[in-house]
Amino acid sequence: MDKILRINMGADGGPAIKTEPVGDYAGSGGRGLTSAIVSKEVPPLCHPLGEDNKLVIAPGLLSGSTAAMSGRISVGCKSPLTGGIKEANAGGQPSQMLGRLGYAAIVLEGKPKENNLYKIVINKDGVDIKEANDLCMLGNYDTVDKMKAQYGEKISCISIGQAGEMKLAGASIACTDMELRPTRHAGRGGVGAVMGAKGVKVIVIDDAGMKMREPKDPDKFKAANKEWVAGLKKHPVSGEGLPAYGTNVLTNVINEAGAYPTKNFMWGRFDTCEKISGETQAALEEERGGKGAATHGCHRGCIIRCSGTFLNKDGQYLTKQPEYETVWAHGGNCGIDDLDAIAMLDRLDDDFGLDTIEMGATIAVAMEAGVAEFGDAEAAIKLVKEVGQGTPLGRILGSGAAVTGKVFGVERVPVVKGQSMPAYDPRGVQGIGVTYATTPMGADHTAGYAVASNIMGVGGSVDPLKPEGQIELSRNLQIATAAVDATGMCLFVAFPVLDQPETFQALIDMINAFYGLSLTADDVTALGKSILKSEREFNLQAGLTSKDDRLPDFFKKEKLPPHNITFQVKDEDLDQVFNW
Amino acid sequence: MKIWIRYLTGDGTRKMLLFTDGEPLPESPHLFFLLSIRICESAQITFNGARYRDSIFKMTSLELSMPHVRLGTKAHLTPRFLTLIAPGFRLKVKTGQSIRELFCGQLGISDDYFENRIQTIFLDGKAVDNTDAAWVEDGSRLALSAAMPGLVGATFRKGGRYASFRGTISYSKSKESIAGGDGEITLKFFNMIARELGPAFLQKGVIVEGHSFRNFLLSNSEELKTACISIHLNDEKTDLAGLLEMNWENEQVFLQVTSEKSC
Repeated sequence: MDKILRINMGADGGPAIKTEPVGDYAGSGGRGLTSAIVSKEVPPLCHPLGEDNKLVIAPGLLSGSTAAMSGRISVGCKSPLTGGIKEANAGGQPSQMLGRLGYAAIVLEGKPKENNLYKIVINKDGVDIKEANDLCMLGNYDTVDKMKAQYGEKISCISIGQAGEMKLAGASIACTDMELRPTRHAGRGGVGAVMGAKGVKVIVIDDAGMKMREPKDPDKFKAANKEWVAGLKKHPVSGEGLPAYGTNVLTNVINEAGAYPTKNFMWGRFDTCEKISGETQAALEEERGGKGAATHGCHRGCIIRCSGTFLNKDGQYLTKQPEYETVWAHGGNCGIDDLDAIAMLDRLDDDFGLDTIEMGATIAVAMEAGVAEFGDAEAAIKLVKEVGQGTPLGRILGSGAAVTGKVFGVERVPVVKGQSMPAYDPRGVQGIGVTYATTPMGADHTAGYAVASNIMGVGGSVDPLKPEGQIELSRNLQIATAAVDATGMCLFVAFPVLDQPETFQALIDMINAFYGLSLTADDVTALGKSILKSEREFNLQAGLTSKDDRLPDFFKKEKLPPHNITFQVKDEDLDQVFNW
Repeated sequence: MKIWIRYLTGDGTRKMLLFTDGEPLPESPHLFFLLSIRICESAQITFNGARYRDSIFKMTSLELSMPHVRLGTKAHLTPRFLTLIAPGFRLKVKTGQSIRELFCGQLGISDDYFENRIQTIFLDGKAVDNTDAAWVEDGSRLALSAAMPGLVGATFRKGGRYASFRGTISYSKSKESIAGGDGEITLKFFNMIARELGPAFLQKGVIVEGHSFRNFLLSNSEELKTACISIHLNDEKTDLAGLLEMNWENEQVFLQVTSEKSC
């Protein structure tokens, strides 16, 4: 991946394409590259939908190689939702294909002078960009179908739905999976709105004729990959739990813990959660789709296969297996316990191109406001359809929970830096509240997600039983995650990496063998720190201060049943997270 | 040991008596003797649809206080019963013991399985770190899970490095406050633990709510018709229709499911 594709959408005479060497960005990938480019090239005070913002799409360092689990793609920009730097991450096929075509990043710059939509096609022969107004206000599914009809079935697509075209702050960017369905999303932070502001509807990627990326030391790489795969397969999380039940395996556990945000974060337990648990969902999927329906990888090279296929009551494909976050956001957080309704909401999110977490949280806020009743699945579906239609109410909802809360006068709005909280109540899991508050990304559960005992041991030890250990733990987790996000690895490698130091070492060995380096765990830590540092500095210049590293007030005041606790981490402790 | 006996008097009045360890209720000694006389002699006793005479006194099982349903099924049907017990099922146990003593001692789970496979345990909704210092009481609710994905999954792992993340909802209670004796607990099995332990517990016998049992029968009637090999209610052979005729509201059911080889 030795080149960067830059497309100036606002050039005189129409979009201008330029391919240049990676230059100073050599050695960066994924989030490392998106944050490097955004922090260096985007004026922090620019309007997120304006010409000065950039949308950076970058495969990971190992994407396009035979490394297992290396198919994640990072999308970076200044976020229209948070006003700070954003990296959103997705699975699917595009990362592998872009990697094999040799692109370290695609950078969309400028802004079209006319109100046109464009289609970009990238293959081994180069890049072509054409007006595509015939795709205007199509959903992602129809858009991809049209691309399939035109370019064949071996492509992958990166696209926006109606939400992105309308530049709504809850808009996502869709990436197609192995079946060429737009089911994997760079969801968080309104990245789809930025793509819409750039006038790009779809990027078609065709790597026909390209080979797998070759490592510098093939023998060492092969050995490390073998060790890596073995570690992932033998671990009960990556080798059994996730393939069998998907991420929704968490519903029963988090609910039992009393940390399952229910009806707009009013309670920590949802009475009928077993109706929407991963166990129930997997059984339903297999009943309708046959054995194996609940086990599916989102990209080639995925061996965890945490996804699945959800058929409707008539046995027709409806959507991919809804993730834990979707089942929670549209389910328990809205008081809905109907898996078919939740699956429909998932389909609508994917088709309109909406962040499922933001959308579910927003509907819950709207329910609290009385726009609909908690538990009314039909009403929730109607509200999401209004977003896709662009009605005035739909535009409010599509702009996220913070805006919706303001419009309807709701106090309990669970956002940090304007971004909605995911499916773990910080009053129950206080440490994740530290991450929600302090990550540069806004409330984000994946920002401090990667765990590695090797990294945890570097830079000092942590007493896990002491409350103050949470600050240091959150810091180290955010560092580790930033580094893993640069590799293109799926974050579900986290558990085997935690339990099996040799598996983490295998990851480092793969990177070293691929690039001819001699990285150590210390270097991984340094990489993570440098990414976080650049993101923090951007945010500071964008006007975000320590006052934005806080949870909403109600978490400190409202006791969460059943444990009746509040968020107890002090503000001055939150301010220590990035003091390293 | 407690036994509820419902009985019909000679004039058809339905009555119920608590029979405790062979001793009469203090407030109605004469009634007991009258009952026993009537049982042994001429009383007609209807016990949840089945009729008994003096043989009732030969039963010593604790589960006499509720209907006892025994199902023999083809192997492929057993996983369906996991949905019935997913919200939780009850067991009679000795209380005042640690969680480890309960599972490895009383309930016969191997030490290796308990230690390595059951990675997440909740006791009354609180995450447990030390299974030797977490005590089972009458009315306790225990939930077991295999290893869970992601950071939050790691956070709830027993004795895990990230336990401080959920320190405010971790289990902590001293043994002094725990009463020992006979009691009843609720168990919940999640994910792989449900698949692996559920069938064995169903075979030994679990207590479920009657209305849930009825709903389960209705929702799975087609499958039960074809894959249920034998159905017994209180040791008398019956069929699915017979079970569905029962009024299960306000009842608890002692259910045993034995998987037999598929034909």
